[in-house]
Amino acid sequence: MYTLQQATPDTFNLMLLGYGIIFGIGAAYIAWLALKWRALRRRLQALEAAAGDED
Amino acid sequence: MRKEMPRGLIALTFVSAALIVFALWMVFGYAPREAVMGDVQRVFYFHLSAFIGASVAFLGTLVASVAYLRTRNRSWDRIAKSSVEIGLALSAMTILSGPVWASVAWNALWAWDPRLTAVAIMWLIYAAYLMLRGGIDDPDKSARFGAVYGIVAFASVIMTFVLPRVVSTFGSPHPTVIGPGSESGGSMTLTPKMKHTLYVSMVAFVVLYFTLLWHRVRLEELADKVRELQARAFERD
Repeated sequence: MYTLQQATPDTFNLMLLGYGIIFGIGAAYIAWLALKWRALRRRLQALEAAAGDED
Repeated sequence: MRKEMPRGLIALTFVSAALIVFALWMVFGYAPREAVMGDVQRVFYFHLSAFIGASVAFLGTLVASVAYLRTRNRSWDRIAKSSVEIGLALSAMTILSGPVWASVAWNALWAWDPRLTAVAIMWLIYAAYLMLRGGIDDPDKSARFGAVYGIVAFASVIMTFVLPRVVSTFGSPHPTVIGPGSESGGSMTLTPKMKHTLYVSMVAFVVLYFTLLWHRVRLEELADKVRELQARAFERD
């Protein structure tokens, strides 16, 4: 008698792709937050400097 | 907005990062390899946890929207809007990582079953929230419309939990992990180590949501300050 056994497939690369997608989205969102923060800080400094010049 | 980052936020950011690293260790070093699907099943831990984080974020929008309509305090509106954005990012992780796992589990990237369809609709509904907010110039009107929309939109989150469980005729290949599934739905048995990994990952994503929310709300406060100064400069000119 033989027993049919299913071998566990090698899906390591697909796992990496899955985590790549998850961390890619996370990293992109955090990078967007950081860039937006920097741009707003610069804009604020420019506006405050302009307001100071007029005073 | 010259204030440095609050100590509480710094601590929360470190705790959140540590929890994600610990959850990753559990995913790759603690949880056993699934026998039928192999390593790709490990995507499941962050796939589901990201969805739980997104659901908490959309619940945050609901609570903050109700609070805004009651108090008209702009802080609640900032929380509501920021939560939608974070919820969209987290649910995008779920929606886009799912097909990778499904390609092995179902031999298909997508199935138009109740859960997947409900999640896709939920994502589009919340994406439309940001479009609505972006399309209204008056901040008070934008906040008021956003609050009403944020309350109604939560029905789509409830649908993603309820629909696959109660409508057995819409049998889904997608497994129901928390609570009973539909009669014809897919099943999934987790070993204790798998359950521990899942719970730690869920906690990590909920903490991540609160961390991102605090950062995002500070950004929104800064944006409001810039808008206010721009308006003043415009009035002077």
